[in-house]
Amino acid sequence: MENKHEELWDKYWKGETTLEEENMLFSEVEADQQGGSLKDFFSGIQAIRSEKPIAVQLPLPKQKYPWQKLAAVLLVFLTVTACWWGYKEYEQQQQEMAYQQVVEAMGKIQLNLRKGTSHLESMEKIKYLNSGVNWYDNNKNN
Amino acid sequence: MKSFFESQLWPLKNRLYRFAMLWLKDRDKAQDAVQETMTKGFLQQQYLSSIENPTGWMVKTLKNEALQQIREAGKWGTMDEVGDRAMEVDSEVDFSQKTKMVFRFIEKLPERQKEIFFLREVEGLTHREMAAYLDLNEGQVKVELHRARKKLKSFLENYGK
Repeated sequence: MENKHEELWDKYWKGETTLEEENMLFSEVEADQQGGSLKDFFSGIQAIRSEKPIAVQLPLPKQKYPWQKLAAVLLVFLTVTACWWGYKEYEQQQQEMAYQQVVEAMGKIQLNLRKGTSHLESMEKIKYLNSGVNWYDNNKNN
Repeated sequence: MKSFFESQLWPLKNRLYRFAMLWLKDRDKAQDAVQETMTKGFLQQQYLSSIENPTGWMVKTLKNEALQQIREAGKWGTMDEVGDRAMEVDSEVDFSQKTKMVFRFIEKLPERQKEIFFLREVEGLTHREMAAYLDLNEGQVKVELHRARKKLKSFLENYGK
């Protein structure tokens, strides 16, 4: 019996024991009343074996229908489109207003240009006198 | 029906956590590393379901996360150097003396032996499972386990002297 025990330990130190044989040896060491470094060592191993992580969290599964992301993208797209559309409208209004202002300004200029021309109308009546001056100039040149 | 993540990757979390403790010696940091690894595993589950050894991929990812945390703590190095540079065992006061004793021994092992010893003694994996975890063949696993236990024998004989 003692020989078999020794044999098993020899096998253990050589790394040739099976897991069952090792469990047998560890149980013997645990039950040993004398203790010693071997018992301490295997108690330490037992303590490490009982170590467990407190909480490892499972990563969140991928969303089958990522509707929230889709909604966010859609919202951004609509906002950008609305802004762009609004800006185009504003730009067009600005152009129309500028055109109206130019038309009004031109109208006022036209009105002002006509002012003071009524007294020149009488000059039209004696315009024919200029033809005599032309006749004189022509004869002088010849 | 359970998804690939739920059936294959999620059950690894406790083991990965203890594995992270091996490098980081800190519960919070180990928790963060496992959380990151699990998140990556979840996002890559389609790819992982198509490869031969998803567990090995998870362990590698966890190692990278642990290395990242050690680097962020200002301790630069490759994974081979992590054993020397990882958080000091003695600085962690909330571990029992016996747990510290285990970590103190493991710290002395080369990187590969450290992982194999841990997976066998703490996680109780078979040679084949360890080979899958670490992307090694079973022969390498047996040799390294033998070497690690030889060192354990010597460590225990000299402990307290």
